[in-house]
Amino acid sequence: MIESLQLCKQFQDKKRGVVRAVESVSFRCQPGQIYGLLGANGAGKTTTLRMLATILKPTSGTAKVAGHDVVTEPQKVRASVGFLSTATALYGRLTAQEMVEYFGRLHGLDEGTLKKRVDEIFNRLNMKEFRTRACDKLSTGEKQKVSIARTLVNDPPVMIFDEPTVGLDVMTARTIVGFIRECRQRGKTVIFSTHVMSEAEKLCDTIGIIHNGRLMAEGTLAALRTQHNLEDLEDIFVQVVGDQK
Amino acid sequence: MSLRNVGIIYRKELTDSLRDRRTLISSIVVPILSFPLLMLAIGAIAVFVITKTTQQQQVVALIHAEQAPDLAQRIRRERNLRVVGDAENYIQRINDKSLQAAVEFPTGMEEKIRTSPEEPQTVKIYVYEDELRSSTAARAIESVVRQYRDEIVTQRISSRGLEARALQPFKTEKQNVASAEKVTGNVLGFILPYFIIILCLTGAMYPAIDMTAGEKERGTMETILASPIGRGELVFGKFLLTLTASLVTTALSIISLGLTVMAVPFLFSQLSKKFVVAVSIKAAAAVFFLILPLAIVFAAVMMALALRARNYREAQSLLAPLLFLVILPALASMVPGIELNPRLALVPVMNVSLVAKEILAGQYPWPFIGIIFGSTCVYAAAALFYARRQFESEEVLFRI
Amino acid sequence: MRLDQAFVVYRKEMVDLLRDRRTIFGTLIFPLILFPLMTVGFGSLVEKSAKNVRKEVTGVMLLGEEHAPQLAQVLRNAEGLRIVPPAPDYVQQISSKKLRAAVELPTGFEAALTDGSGDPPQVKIYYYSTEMRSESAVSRLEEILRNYRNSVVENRLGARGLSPAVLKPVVAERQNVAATEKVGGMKLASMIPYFITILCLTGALHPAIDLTAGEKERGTLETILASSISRGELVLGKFLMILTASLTTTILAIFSFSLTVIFAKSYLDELTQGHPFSISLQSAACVLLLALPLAVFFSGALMAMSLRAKSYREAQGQIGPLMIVVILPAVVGMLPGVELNARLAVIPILNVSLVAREILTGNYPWGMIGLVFASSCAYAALALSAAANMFQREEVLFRA
Repeated sequence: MIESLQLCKQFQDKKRGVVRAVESVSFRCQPGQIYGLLGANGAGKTTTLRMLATILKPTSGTAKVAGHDVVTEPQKVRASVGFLSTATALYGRLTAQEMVEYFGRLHGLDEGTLKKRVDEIFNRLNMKEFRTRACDKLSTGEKQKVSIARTLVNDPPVMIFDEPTVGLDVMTARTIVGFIRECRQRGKTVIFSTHVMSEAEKLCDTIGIIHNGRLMAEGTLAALRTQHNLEDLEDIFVQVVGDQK
Repeated sequence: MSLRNVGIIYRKELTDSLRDRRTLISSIVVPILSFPLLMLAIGAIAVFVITKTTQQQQVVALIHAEQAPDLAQRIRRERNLRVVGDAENYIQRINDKSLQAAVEFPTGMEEKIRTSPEEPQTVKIYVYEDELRSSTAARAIESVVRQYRDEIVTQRISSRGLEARALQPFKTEKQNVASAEKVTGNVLGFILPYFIIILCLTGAMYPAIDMTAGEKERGTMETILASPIGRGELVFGKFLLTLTASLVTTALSIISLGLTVMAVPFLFSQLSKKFVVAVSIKAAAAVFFLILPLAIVFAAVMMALALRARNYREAQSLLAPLLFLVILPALASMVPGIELNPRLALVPVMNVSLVAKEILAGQYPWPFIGIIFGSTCVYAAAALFYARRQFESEEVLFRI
Repeated sequence: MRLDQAFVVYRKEMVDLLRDRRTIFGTLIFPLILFPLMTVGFGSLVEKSAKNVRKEVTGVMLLGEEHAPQLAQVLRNAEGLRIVPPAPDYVQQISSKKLRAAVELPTGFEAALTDGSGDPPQVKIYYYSTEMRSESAVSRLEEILRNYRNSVVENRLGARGLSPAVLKPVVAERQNVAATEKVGGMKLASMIPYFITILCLTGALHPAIDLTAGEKERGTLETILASSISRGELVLGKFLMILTASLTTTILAIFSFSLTVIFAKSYLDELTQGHPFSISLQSAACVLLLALPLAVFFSGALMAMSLRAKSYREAQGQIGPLMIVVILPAVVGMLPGVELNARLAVIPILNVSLVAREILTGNYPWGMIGLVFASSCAYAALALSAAANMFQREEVLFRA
């Protein structure tokens, strides 16, 4: 379960002065549900997700992830979160197996459990073939799988995805989407950010439209459609965001 | 801080680095190869120059040779000299190096030597000052003249009942009393501290960049920050690897240098100067411990600085001035005459360089060693603290 | 080929590069400011410490003074020596640098001197080999002892009615006939071509990589290849930019170096032996003209090589080691024994170094100059065509 309470993030930019990246964002995601943060570039999606993952510290407000407070118990939060951002961020010189094992160890898995889980995951995702190949020698699709495996190794209850399908071709994007669905099926709490409308339409149980750091609208797709009297999510988005100009 | 986590980070960074070709080259191959290659090059050059000067014949012209037929004949017989017929335009020819030297005998030289012993005769040797071949020719000529003179002198004094021995009332002999270790250490103390310090720095540079800006460039920084590891553990693990790289580079270089130096007498028999090499283990260990806190400073500072960069290129630009700032004070050991004193003992890098020089020469100025070690440790702690702070600063990590 | 299109490329690259902080630092600030700072700073440091060493009064121990009171007195009165009372641990003191040297006068020294018939007695000087102050003390002592010996010999001769002139029937005296500028310039003339070569190379390095591999990395190479400009024009424009950078660096560095020489003359005395060193405008122009094809060669070669890389970092990693291939001939060109001849005149880089050295000392071997210039141009043309060729090959441009 993810619960964000008036999350705020501001920082100093040399050229722009004080920038309020995220302003008083509050929302809730339930386990077994997918929450989608929809917004343009620079809207505050990444910053919000990073705060939830405790990579950034909120300027004010807080969030509870998997029962732990991000401000007071960041380490415990991180132990319960699987974070996947730019999909192919891997250590090129390590093999696929080493990559996954590394993160398993960081999560405190002992060697015995680690070995079991690594075998399990590699089997499930059909990765046996390139198990011992160096990561920078893998195709994009294979790299995806390694990233996914890395995120799954400690079976976290909460999954955070930051623009996971950016730059991927249709087939590889489907793998990710399929994986996200699977997470929901397994009862995980899933939140992901995107600016691709079709993705949000297909996947999300709840959609949160974020613009200029503020949560502008929130609800299921059906609710949003009714609220704004529009069918197309893109039209809804433009209307919500346009209102603020 | 869990040491286990630090260990996990360290092990992964180690595996990763060992597979990076560039790290291997800069931290392992370069230190091992540079000294032998350098020595080989210098040795070959020295051999080349020496052979050239001893075997090559120098062209010499004689002016007014008829005034001193005996001496002229001796010069002609000299193996390394080739006397040419005429001395026309000798100044021009010496200038454009077609003639190495010209010898001018004063009028009536040999006769005056016989008849007026009170009047020394001056033989002029025209040369191209400092030019290698010309100087060689001049030296050979001077040696012939000396021999000639000695014979005449012996003749002159024996006619008065004196022996040649009378001209040398006593002999002077200088004898080195310092142990071979001290002599070697003195010589090494000039260059070694500089090299060790520089190697420490450069050995750490590439890994430091790779583990900070490199992570950012690859996009893995976020990922690792989202894992349950603490910032402190992360910093420490990475720092330990940078330090390892730096120390390995230094150690390998020192060993390579030591082996090269010991192999010199076997490789270059032409360099006949006796070369007794001995390095005291105690001194080597002392220097190592002294350099240790400095290596920590370098590793921590470079990591902290490189973290501010967004990618490799930027990181290199940031660290390049650091290289400069270290080279200059490190050179202090090579400047003759700069001695360790209370003022210089507080200047970072320079103080280590100077005290290492002393230690290598067998001196152990304990108060200085204490101050320098202590102050460098303080700098090390500060550097580590700074590195840790950088890793906690969101601004630095994400370059927002 | 439309030259104005090439010029469009040239202008854009110029503007781009001028905004790059790293270029500004490397090409402008470094040669202009740091170079002179380093030489002057270091030079003054060396000079100051050398002066300090000269001023020091060395402590020397006298052993066996009672055997030679006269000589002992001479030593006591000598300038620059401080005689300390004898002690049994002189070896220890010398080894730990507390004592510079010890002079041992053997038993019966003065008696043997007056007698003059037996074997000459031996004076021993104990010292610390390679240690600077000890060695200088030894030189001073040897000088004093030499003078004393000469005076003894004079006395002996005088006792037989011979004047000291008897000992010097003939003296060899060297006289330099080379033009002043040749002598003063010897060492500097060797170093300048080396610096020019290095500067040409490093000045071209960063722009060459940035304009090729850097473009690939940024993703802009594709875009420009899709524009209406021809490959030839593109290559020319980029090449001209790299050449400009290379020549700018070289000229600026030489300019600042000349200023340094003018204002810091005293520090360079060591190198010029006090002879005024000046470079005639003619020789400077000649050397720069010769450096031109060299710069072209570097620019073209670096461009061709760095285009093969996928990123800036890769290019740097590949080209870095190759710098040694350039430095080596440049260094060989500095060696005193290496002379310019027809064979060496066609070896790239080395030929320019050697011929520049001649020109800077006032020699103008026009035949050689022509040969070197022609071959340099040939190499330059080769490099340029290699670069142009590279830009035509798809597998190089679009290396995945």
